[in-house]
Order: sequence, then structure tokens, then C-alpha cells
Amino acid sequence: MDPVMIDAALEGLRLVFSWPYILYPLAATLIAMLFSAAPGLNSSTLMALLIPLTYAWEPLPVMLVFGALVGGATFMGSATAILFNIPGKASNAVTLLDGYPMTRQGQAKTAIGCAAAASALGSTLGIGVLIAMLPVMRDAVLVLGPPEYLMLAIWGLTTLAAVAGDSLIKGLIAAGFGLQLAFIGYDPRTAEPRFTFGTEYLQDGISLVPVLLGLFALAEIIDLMVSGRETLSGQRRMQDLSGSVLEGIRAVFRNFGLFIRSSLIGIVIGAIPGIGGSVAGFVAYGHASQTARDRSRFGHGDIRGLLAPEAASDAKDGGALVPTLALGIPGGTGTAMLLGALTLHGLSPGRELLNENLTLVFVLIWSLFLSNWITSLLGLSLVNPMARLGTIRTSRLIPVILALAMIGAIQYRGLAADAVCAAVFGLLGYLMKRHHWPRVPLVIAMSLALLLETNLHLTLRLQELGRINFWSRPVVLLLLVLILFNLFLPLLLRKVRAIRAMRRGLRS
Amino acid sequence: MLFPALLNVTAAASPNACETLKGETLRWIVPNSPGGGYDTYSRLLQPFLAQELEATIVVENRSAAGGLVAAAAIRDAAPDGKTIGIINAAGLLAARLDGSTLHPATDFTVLARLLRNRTVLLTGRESGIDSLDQLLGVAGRRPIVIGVRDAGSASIVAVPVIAELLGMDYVLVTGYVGNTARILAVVRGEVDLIVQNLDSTRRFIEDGTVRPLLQVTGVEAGGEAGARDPIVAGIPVLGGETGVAQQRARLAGRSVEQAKKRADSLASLVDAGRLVVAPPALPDQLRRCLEVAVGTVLRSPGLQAAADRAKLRIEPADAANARADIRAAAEALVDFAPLVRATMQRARQ
Repeated sequence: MDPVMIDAALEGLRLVFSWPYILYPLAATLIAMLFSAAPGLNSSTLMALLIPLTYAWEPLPVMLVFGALVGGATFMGSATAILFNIPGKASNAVTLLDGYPMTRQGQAKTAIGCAAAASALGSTLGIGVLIAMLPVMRDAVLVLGPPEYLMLAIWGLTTLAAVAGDSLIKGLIAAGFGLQLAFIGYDPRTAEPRFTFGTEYLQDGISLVPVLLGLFALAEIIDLMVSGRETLSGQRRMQDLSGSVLEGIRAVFRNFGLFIRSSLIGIVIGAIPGIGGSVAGFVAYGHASQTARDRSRFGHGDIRGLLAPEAASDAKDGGALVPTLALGIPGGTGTAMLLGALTLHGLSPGRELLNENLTLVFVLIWSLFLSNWITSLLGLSLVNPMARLGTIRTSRLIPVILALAMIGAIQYRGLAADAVCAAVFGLLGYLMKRHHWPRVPLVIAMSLALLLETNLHLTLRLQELGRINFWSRPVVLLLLVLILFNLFLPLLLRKVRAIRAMRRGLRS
Repeated sequence: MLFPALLNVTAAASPNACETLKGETLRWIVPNSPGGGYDTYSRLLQPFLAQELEATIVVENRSAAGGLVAAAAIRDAAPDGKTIGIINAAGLLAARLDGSTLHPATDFTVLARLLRNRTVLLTGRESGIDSLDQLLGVAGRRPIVIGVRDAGSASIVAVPVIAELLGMDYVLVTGYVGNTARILAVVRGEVDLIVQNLDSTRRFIEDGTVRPLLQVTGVEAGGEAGARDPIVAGIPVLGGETGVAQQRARLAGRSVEQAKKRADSLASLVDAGRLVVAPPALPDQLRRCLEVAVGTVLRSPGLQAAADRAKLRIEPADAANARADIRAAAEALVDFAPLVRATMQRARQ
């Protein structure tokens, strides 16, 4: 490593942990945790509110606060997903798929322990990769273009087979419906409205957040009301809850290979400008279930289905900082707000910042690192009170969950119509659950649709014009291998197992 | 003088109208996503305007359809002074060629202009094209590939007119949604050129990521300001007396006067600027209150200092000036309509 970089890294570390500067990331993290406990509110919203308040500040405290906010408090959104089936924001949505069933099985402590450990370690890995890439990240960002984004989207879609549940056909129909929903709004290429039926609301497109809150949180409320279940966990007393925090933390190390792969997925997807953390989480989830030997528990409380998206969602923050710091191009909403904040403070991300203010860059990175660990550690210390919520009567919880879900739906874009949208999808989600139609493929397809559509058009056009050669791009070929692996390996393995079983049968 | 009408407005402003907004929450609608150019300007203005009106201002991002959804949301809001926002006048005018009915002057109450747009043609640092002459040399051998947002964007208006004036053949690649996508496209070399707002791409030019080749402006309109701006010093200007359009017309044996007129018309269109607007039919007293408040903020030394630090340009003009410029831009658009519509059609195939 370059000695200049080592000096800057150490100086950045010293500044973050020195008095009174450490107060900035600590306070920012705590505020973000409180703030993001309400669905629909997240650290990006908080950043937007804080930008005008920090105008008069020097660059150092700005970096400390905004660094802490970039990735801060995602864990709280995961906690509400695990406990109530309510994702704090879109990137927490995938957490509920296996997290909430664990709560219903009385294993909320294990789930929260696993999510906290995977988050903290995932973000650490993301930051490690970011630091390692600092000297070359500009080139690394430019290696990825429309063909690579397209193949990533297809790769994500091929994981649908793994999350389709009992019926692949039902999964594919649900995915097709998800794609169709995402196509509502303006065509990104022709600027013509599609499927808007002349309504202003649909011109903006259907947002993922009310869909998620409806499909999962509201559908769950309906299910709880219909089933008459007494408590979420099925237990009335804390001592009757099974599982432990330690068990959750151990799960990360027991599945360390999956943790590393999921984190890397998060980092790569995070580095793609404009792609949110939800895509990283869903792709990691699909990968986890695709590569699992026994996938029957996925969607029913498999801890690997919790670990993978949590690691990916937090690792993606490091990845999202790669294009932000290298080129001044944000990787996601959080880094877009960071970019706005830095610009208003006269700091230009890109070459200038890297060459002239490398110490400040490291202050940002270490502040993000510290924030992720504080969030996870504080989250762990709150496990017992949080798990206790699973023993409260559902008749008392339902109004609270309903209010939180509705507030979350409205708050996200400030549109009251999103509450209606959430209600419609709540009903749909309940019917899908009742009739065993998988909801996850719908959500995965919806979150990948824009990436797929825009880059399919761009790739075809650029290939037609001879501006790219699709088949000579190494990352495309690598992703193609992964896609083929996803599509055909399960079939191959099934065949091999069938042949082995047949041979065993013949022998016996 | 930038604010001649404002002085009269100040005298006539009713403090009672502003009283009704005190302590209220105002929506400030932004036509792009968080972190984008309009969003950054909005967040720069937000605390100053909030202080001026003694109100809370909430920035709301409505990025769909290149700003049309945001503009429609402002137009359709109640005219109670509690909804204001920022629009791209050139973008709205361009969209009128594509079926939109929104008009930046008649569908809104224009409160002020934040700044004129300054449009530039940019290429990537490693494109091998260092100057406009080199670009034209390449254009002599093959069509120039230009990346744009979509078939309804404001750059769709600029591209065919610029190409016609330069005598340059081109092909469009649509689908690069967002400034950053276009910047990356030109840096990766997927396209030769992009047409961008100078203010949104300033930091990329400063750090050498992209290179400006041409200023789409007339000498009278933006050339002087451009000459003062070191970032585009020495970069050729399309319009005006000594503009590239005239030079190219002379070389090709076309009408020099006609070329100058078209280049200047294009400049007046793309320069129409970023406007601060409220819904139409705003009661007079509220309009005066907001015009004065926005004008005061835009001229305040505090805002200017904050803008300087952020390297953001503020060149305010009052509502009357802004409306006059929009009218000129709308007239210019009429001339370009057949060419632009044909380009939109082509981009959709």
C-alpha cells in the first residue's frame, strides 16, 4: 500500500476516535437509529434534513456525520422486518422473508443476533474492499457498463427458480407480474407513458416500498386477524422463547463461505450507480437458496436466508462509495445525498478529493465503519426488549403494526395514494399467501426490472452500432457462466442424485 | 439591471400575505432525484427561504418523466402559496413538441429565474477527440454517436439543430437516465458526445473526466459569462457574430445570416433556465410575497457565499424577465418543431 495512503488512513482513524470528534459519528448513529426505526424513514431522509443544518460546519465534522449516516441504522430497519414483517426501507425487505418466520417460531433473538453480526461483518468487508480498491477504483468502475449491468440483472432473475417455492410456474407468473408492475410509468427510452391509464399517480411508476409493505406487512396483519393467533411468537412468556443471540452470531461463522459470497455480491451491486440495496439483498438471497443443498426451509425461517441479504445490504455501502469517491457518481440514494452534502460544503468527490483530501476520505470511511458497528452492538443490547414484542398479544400489536405500515407507505414519497397502493397489495399478498403463490419472485422481478430494461436496450443499441463487443467482455462472460450455473446446475444435481439413488436401489 | 420589476414589487408587497405562510410547511418540488443538480440547488436555497418566510420548507423529489411529473404536481397544487418548486423551462418547452401541454410561462406563476442554463457538448477524456475541429474531422469519416436521456428530453431539441449547423451526421443512443449515466457513457467511450448542462457537469470537467468541445450559446446571451468562467475559456461558441455556426455556414456555402439566427434561437431556447414557480392563479398578494421572498433570498450575500463555496452559479432574474425569455424561447421552438419531431420519431424506432 502507498505510504501516503497509510498515513492518511491512520490520521483518519485517529481523527474519528479523538475527542471531541468521536461525538459526531456517535450522535449521528444514535439519531439515525431512532429515526430509522419508523418504516419509510431512513438515513437518506435524515441526511436531507441535516444538510441545511450543517452549512456553517467545517469539512471534518461534515464527513464524520455524513459518513455515519451513509450506512448507519440499516439494522433498525432489519429489526422491524424480523419482528413485525415491516421492512424499514426497501433494502430491508428481503430480511423479512426468513427473519419474520423465525420470530413466529420464537427465535427472534437468534434472528436479530444473526442480522447484527452479518451486518457488522458485511460492512467491515465492504469497507475493506473499498480501501483496497482506492488506488484502482476509477478503472474498476469503468469496467462495468450496460452489458455487465444487463447480465447482473439476468443473473438476479435466474435466482427466481430458487425462491419460487413449490411451483416454478407460479413463481414465474409472479415474477412476470412483478416485471409488468415495474413497467408502469414512463418508458426510460422513449419517454412515453405506459399502462398509466391517464392517471397522474401511475406516471411516477409504482414504488417498491408500498408494494412491499402491502405484500408482507399488511398481508400479515390480515393473516393474524383471520387466524386469531394469540402472539407473534406463539409464546406468552420470554423464557419460553427459544434461540439465543450467540446462536445467531455463530450462524454467520458456520456459513462463512456464504457470508463472504453474499458480501461480495453486495459490494459489486453497490458499485453500480443507481442500483439500490434492495437489489443486492434479493440477489444474495437468491444465491443463498440457489446454492443451498437443502432449500426446503427457505422462506420458512432458514437462517441462511437472513444472513445472506443482511451481509449483502451492509457490504453494499462500501461498494456504493467506490463510484462516489472515484468519479463523484453516487452508487445509491444514500451516497447521492452524501454527494449533495459534500458539494454544498465545497468538497468535490472525485480526483480532487482523493488527491487533496485523502485524510477526509478516510474520516468518511472510518466513520461509516464505526457507525455500522455501533448500530449492530446497540441492536444486540436491545435484543431482549425487542424479542419481548413477540410475546405481546396480537390484538395489541396489530393496530401498532398497521399504523407503522401505513405511515411508512405514505412517508416514503409523501403521497397519500401510496397508502391505497399498500392496501391493495396487502389484500393481494394475503390472497397469494393463502393460495400458496410465492411473493418473493414478484418483488425480485420488480426491483430488477429497470436495471434489466434500460441495459437491454442500451446493450442492443451499442452492439448494433459497433460501440461494444458483448462477447469480448470478461465480466460478461463470467456472469454468463454464473447464469448457466444457476439455470442448469440444480437440474444436473437432481439428475446425478436420481442416478445415484437408482444405483443404490439396484445394489440393494 | 436584473431586478427592475422587483423594486416595484417590493413596494407593493403585502406583509399580510406572507403572514399567512408563517409557521406553515411549504412543499418545494424538485424535478430530479436526491443528489442531482436541481436537488442540490434546492437544498442550497431551502434554509435561506425558510428563514425568509419563517416557514418550514420540505424538499420533495419527483424525478419521473424528465421533470414532467414534478411540473404537473406544481401546476395542479392548490394556489395557496404552500407549494412551490423548480422547473426546467427548456425541458418543458421541448416536451410540448412531444404531446405535453405544460407551458412554463402560462401554466405556472413564475416567481424568479435562478439561473440560465449553459449547455455544452462534452466528450470523454480518452475519446481521442481534443477539440471541435477534431470532432468535425471524425464526423467526416463516420456518424458521431450521441448519448441522450430519452426521446423526449431537452437535448433531443439541441442535438439535431447543432448537428445541422455543424454539418455533422450523427446517431442517437437513448436510455441514459440521469446525468451520471451519461457521464459514465462518454467516459467509457460507448458514445462520442453528450449534451449537458455546464453546471451539472462542472466537477467532471474540472477533474478532467470529460472535456467540453462547444458552448451552445450566443455571444450576447452567455458568451460573456462564459468567457469569465475559466472552465470554458477558449471553448468555441455556437452562436453570435463570430460563432461556429456562421463559420460552418460560410464554409459550406449556406446562408450565414440564417445560421446565426438559428444558433441564437437555439441558445435562447436551451438557456431558458431554471425557474422558481408556484401553481397558476396564485392570489396577487401571495404572488407578491413569494416573488419578494424568493428575490431577496436569491440576492442575499449569505446565499451567494454558500453558492460560491459549493461552486454553484446563481444568476437571478425577476419574474418579468424570466417570462420574457420564455416567450422568446417558445418562439424559437416553433422554428425547430419539424426537425425536432422527426428526431423524436427516429429516436423511438
